Amino acid sequence: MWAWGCVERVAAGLLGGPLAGGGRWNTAVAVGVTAAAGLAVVAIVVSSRRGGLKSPWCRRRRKAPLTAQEWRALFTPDGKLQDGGVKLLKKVRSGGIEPSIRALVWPFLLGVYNLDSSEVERDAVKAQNRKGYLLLRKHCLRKSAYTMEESKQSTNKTAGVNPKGSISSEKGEESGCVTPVESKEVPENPSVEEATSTEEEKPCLSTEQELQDDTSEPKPEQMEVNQSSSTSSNEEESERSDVTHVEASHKDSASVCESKLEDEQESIPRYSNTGGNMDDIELSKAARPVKSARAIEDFETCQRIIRLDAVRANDEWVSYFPSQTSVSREKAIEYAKAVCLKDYEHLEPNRIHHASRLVAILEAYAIYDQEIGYCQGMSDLLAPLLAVLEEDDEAFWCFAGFMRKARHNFRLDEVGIRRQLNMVARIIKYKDFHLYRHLEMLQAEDCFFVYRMVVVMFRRELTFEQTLCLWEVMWADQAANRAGIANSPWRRMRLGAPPTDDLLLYAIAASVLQKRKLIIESYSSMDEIIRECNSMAGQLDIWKLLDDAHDLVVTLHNRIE
Amino acid sequence: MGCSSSVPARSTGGLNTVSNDSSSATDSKDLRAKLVLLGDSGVGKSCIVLRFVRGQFDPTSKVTVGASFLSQTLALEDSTIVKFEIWDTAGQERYAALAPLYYRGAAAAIVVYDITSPESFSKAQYWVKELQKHGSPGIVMVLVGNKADLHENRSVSSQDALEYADKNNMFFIETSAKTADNINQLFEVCFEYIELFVFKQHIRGEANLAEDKT
Repeated sequence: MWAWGCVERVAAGLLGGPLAGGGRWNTAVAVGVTAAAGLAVVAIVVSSRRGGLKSPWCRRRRKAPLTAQEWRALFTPDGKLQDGGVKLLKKVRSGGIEPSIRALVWPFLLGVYNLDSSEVERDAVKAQNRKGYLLLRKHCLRKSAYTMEESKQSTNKTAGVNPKGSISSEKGEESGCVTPVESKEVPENPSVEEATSTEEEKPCLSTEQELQDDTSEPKPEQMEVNQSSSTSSNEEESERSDVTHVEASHKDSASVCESKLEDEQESIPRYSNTGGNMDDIELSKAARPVKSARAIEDFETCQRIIRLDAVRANDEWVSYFPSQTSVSREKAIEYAKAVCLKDYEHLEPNRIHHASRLVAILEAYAIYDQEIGYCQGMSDLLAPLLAVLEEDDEAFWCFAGFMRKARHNFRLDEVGIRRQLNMVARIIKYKDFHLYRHLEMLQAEDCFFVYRMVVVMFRRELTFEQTLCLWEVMWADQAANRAGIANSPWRRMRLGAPPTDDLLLYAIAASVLQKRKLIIESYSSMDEIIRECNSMAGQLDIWKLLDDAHDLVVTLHNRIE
Repeated sequence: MGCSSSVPARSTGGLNTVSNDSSSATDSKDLRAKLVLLGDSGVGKSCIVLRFVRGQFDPTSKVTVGASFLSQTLALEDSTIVKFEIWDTAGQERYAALAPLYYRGAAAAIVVYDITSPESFSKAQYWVKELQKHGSPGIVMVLVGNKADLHENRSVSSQDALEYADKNNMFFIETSAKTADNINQLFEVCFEYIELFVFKQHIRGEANLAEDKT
């Protein structure tokens, strides 16, 4: 298969030019090639402007990403995806998404919107989500009053301003949307049907009481799908899009802060494990309740570490999103003050802006999912989302969708990460026993050396654009499983690989298997393998990796999963 | 600059954390030493390593997830070549459970705090206790107060740190990754200690050499 791969890989290699989808490449020649089973497949030879890579004959072909035109054509007149999203997922699984439409497609992949939702339903969800995010931000600020004395004043002045300067304005006090929403939940997928409805109107407890909440008690993910508020939501939508600058949001956010207790009666959205995620179900037994005293202490620690991490976030996205880089220094500083960012003076305005957004969303997430709070590495997962999604509320809910699976990697009890490392080990064991034996000899069969890859999902090993491609393919797999369409014929995929929740782990195993010779012949300690893994940055060909991963899925998923 | 350092008396024997490859490696004065950095988030562990290895200071260096690895070779005056293999660990408590994987087999542990943060000093003490309990018996421990350039915001006095270090048989030094102050010295001293407690003992079976030094 390696030999075949070499010829077939020709084209694509390149992971797509960042902005215009395939825009950076030119299709030149077509070459026939065969794949493993001896079947004829066609590969397209592409020449690319990106120099410095190995022979083009060693690059694997990437299938064309989903284009804007194809995306639009997927919808019925009432704004529903045809065939429940199967076609969408097929396309994304095989070739990713054109950069210009990522912000539109990701919320579907990440479960923010149901694959079979109508436009009206999505508008309602969007409005509800915005409100939920605002509540979380307000809650963050209230808790900040306990824990961040020195910055209390500026916090109260500027409140939950988001970097786009819009979130805190959305509320429009006059719209009265602070009142609890009577709603009938539309389940995200069939498996959640019963679970999502009952507690929607449960009044919000006071802050102190909330802190004593045992997160093991499932609460509905009430923000996910909500039909009821559709009439008001359109108004909110237009109202909100008008407000784009900081001054306006400052005014509003100040009033938000002053509107005190009535808001506290409203339910703050919280993570609940009713999303049907297999990991949740498997791992929930080990869940530990969060005790109140520790929750307070933890939030304070979270706040401190979030700020530390936000100002040192990777800035690779900057060159991909010039539109987000035009923030003036003044505004950037206002954003920073609004979230009490510290030690940012050395940063460019766009990075200050980005760091402030990271703080706002990560802090909100720490409230939303108290069991996890904040763990280093989460900022690596959020930063690419922020670059693509310009609205904080949308970015937050996409992040929450992303975290439904990823959160297990960050659990204190390490159950999730161990399960994943173990799965990588089993993939390697079944695929290449010789390599596995070598790992055993080095006492590295626990695959601890791929720890970082699992936790930040290849973010440190891949370029920004490569990361987005890998993630969206992975999300499409997970979305297919969530929506229960895993059994559709997946002919587009290499050898018809079925979708898996753990594509990442197959990809990680594939990246280790690509180094098997080196590991077996040259490495005599786990330290050396960790070093090798930590230095893969910039060397991986994402589509080759995905092809290898899909091969592994085809041959092993029945034994592994 | 206000950086201070001290060499406490040390009488620990039984050092068996051998990090040189083999006796032949030591004969040719070509040594390897595994070091691990521990300490609270944001105290500058990665910055210290990057300053030492690359001579650079990047205030926006990435958050460490799990741990990262770097190596640097140092030529000493007596023509000894030492290759430092440095494991730089993540600071957040959540990753603390992984730390043993890195300090296991390390010849020296560099425990870092931020001189402007008393919390980070407490955290450093936690790591010292952890190493005393679970580290290799002979591991060399160095206490490092980083960010010494921010002395106007100092909230951990050198005296307190020194006393703590003395009490725990540690070497103490204040550094600034930003200005490079004391960074090379830190690693040189680390090596001297490793040499005293590990290599020499390994070669000649000697112990209790600390008195020579002090």
